[in-house]
Amino acid sequence: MFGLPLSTTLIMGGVMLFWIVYTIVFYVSTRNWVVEDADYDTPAAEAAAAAVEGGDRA
Amino acid sequence: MSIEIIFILIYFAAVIAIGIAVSRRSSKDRAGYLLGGRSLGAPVTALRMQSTSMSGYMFLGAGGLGYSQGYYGMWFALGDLGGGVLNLSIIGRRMRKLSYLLGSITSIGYLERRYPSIWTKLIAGPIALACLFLYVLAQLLAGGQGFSSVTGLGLNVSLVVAVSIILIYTFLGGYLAVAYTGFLQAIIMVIGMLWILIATVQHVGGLTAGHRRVAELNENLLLMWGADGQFFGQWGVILGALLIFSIGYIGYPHVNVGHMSMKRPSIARTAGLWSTGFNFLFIPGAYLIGLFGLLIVPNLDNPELAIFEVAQTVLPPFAVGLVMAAIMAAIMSTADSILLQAGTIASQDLGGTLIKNLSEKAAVNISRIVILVIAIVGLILAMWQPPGVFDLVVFATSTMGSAFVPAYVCAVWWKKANTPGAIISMLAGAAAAVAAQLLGTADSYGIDPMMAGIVASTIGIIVGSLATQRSHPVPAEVLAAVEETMKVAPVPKHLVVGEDATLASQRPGDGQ
Repeated sequence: MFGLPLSTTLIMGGVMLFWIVYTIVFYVSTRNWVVEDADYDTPAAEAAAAAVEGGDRA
Repeated sequence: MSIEIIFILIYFAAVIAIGIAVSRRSSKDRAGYLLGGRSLGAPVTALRMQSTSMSGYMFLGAGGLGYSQGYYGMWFALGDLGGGVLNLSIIGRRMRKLSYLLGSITSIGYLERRYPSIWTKLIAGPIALACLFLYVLAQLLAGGQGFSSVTGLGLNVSLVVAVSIILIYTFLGGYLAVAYTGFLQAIIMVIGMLWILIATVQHVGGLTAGHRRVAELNENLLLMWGADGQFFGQWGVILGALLIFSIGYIGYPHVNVGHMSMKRPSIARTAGLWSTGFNFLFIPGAYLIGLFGLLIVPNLDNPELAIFEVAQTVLPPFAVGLVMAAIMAAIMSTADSILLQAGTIASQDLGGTLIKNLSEKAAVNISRIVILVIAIVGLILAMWQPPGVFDLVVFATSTMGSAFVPAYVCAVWWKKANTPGAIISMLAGAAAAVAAQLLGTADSYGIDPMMAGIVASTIGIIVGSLATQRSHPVPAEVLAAVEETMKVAPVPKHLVVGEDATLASQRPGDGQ
C-alpha cells in the first residue's frame, strides 16, 4: 500500500490500529470516573479545597 | 527584513504577550494561583503535555532520523503515538488524586511525599536536573539551528538570540502561562507540520510515487530495519525505540506535573482522546518529511536540518515564515517548561530540603539563578561543541524514563512500594541506562539503554520494597491515601493533607 513493502504496511497499520483501539477502550471503560467529579466541581468543594490549601501542612 | 523574520517576530511578540496576560491573571493571590494551577481542562492538559514533550526533537531529530534511516525511525513514532494516552490512562487520574491527597504540587515533591525520606528528593532531584539540562540543551540547539536556517545568521549568533528570547520568556511566564501558550503552540505545530507534509507529498508526486523514488535510492529505507538493514532481528533495540516515547513519558517530571494541574481526575479521559488525535496528526509527518527530504534536498551535511530545508524548498515564502515561526515558538515552549521545572526542583525540592527556613524571596532567587546557569552553560556547550539533537534527547529521555517510570507507576498501583524500593529503583535505573549508553550496548549486544534501564529500575523497586517491608513499612497515612486513590469514589475530606505552601514562591511576580 502506498508503495510500501507489505511488512512495513502491516507493522505501521497494526500498531496505529492498536493505539486507536486502546484510546477508545480507555475512554469508554472509564465512564465511571465522573463519580469523583463531585469533589472538584461544586462551589462547596472548591471552598473546602481553598480552605485546605490555606491550612496547615501535614 | 525578509517576510520569514517578520513572521517570527510577530509570533514571538504574540506568545510573550499571551504569557504576560496569563501570568498577571494567575498571580493575583496565592489561592487564585493554586486553584488556577489545578484548573486545566482536557485540551490544555493534553496539548501542553504533547507540545512540551516533543517539539524541538520532532522538527530536528525526527526529521534527521527519517532522512538517514528511513522507516526505521517510525518505531519511535509508533511508540510516541500512544505515549500520551498511555501516560494518562496509567497514572493520570491516580496521580491527580494522590497529589491532591498528599498535598504535593511539584513532581519531585510528589515522590518525596509518597516515599517519605529526605533521600528521595536528594536522589530524584539531581537525576531529574541533569536529564532536564541535557534536554534543554537539545532545545537550545534546535532553536539556534532553526533560527540560523531561517535568518542566515551564524549558528553562534543564532544561539545567543534564541537563548536570550527563551530566558526572557521563561522569566516572564509561570506554569499557567506556559500551559496556555503550550496549548496554542501545539495547534500551530500541527498546522505547520501538516502544511509542510502536504506540500512535500505534492512535491514528490504523491505518497506512492515518493516511496518508489526512495526505493530507487535504497530499498532498505522503506523497510523498518535501518538504511543498511542493521537493525533486523535486533529486538532489544526495536523494543527500546518503541518504549522510549511510549512508557518513557511516564517518567518525565516536567510532563507529569501536568497531571497534577488537571481540573479533575476524570479530565484524563478526554485528554487521552486529544492526545492521540494530536499525535496522529503531528508525529508520523516529521519522519515522513525527513524521508522525502532525500529526494528534495539530497546530500545534506546535517540531516537534522532536513525539515527546515524541505520547508524552504516546497513552501512559498510567507508560508515558510509562518511555519518557521511556529517551529521556533514550539521549541521555546518546550525549553521554558523544562527550565521552569528545573528551577522548581532546584529551589523547592533541593533548596528547601538543604537550606532550613528558606524564604520565598531566596527560593525565587535560587530558581532564577539555576535557570540562568543552565541556560548559559547550555549555550557555551552548544557553541563549543554542538552535539546532535537526536542523541541528546535519546540520552536524556532514556535516563529519565529508566529512573522514574517504576517509581511513578508503583506510587499509585502498588501499595507495598516503599521508600527504599523507590530509591534503589531510581539509582539502578539511571545507572543502568547511563552505563548502557556509554558502553554502547545497543550496537554490541542489541540491548537498548532504555530496555536495560527499565528492567533494572523495575527489579530494583520490586526487590527493594519486598526486602524492606518490615524495616520500612509504608506509613499509615500514605497507605490510606494510596488505597483511596485506587478507588473511583469521592475523596473523604479527612484524608486531604493540604497544598504544599512552598509553592507560593513559584507564583509569577511573587516574592520578587
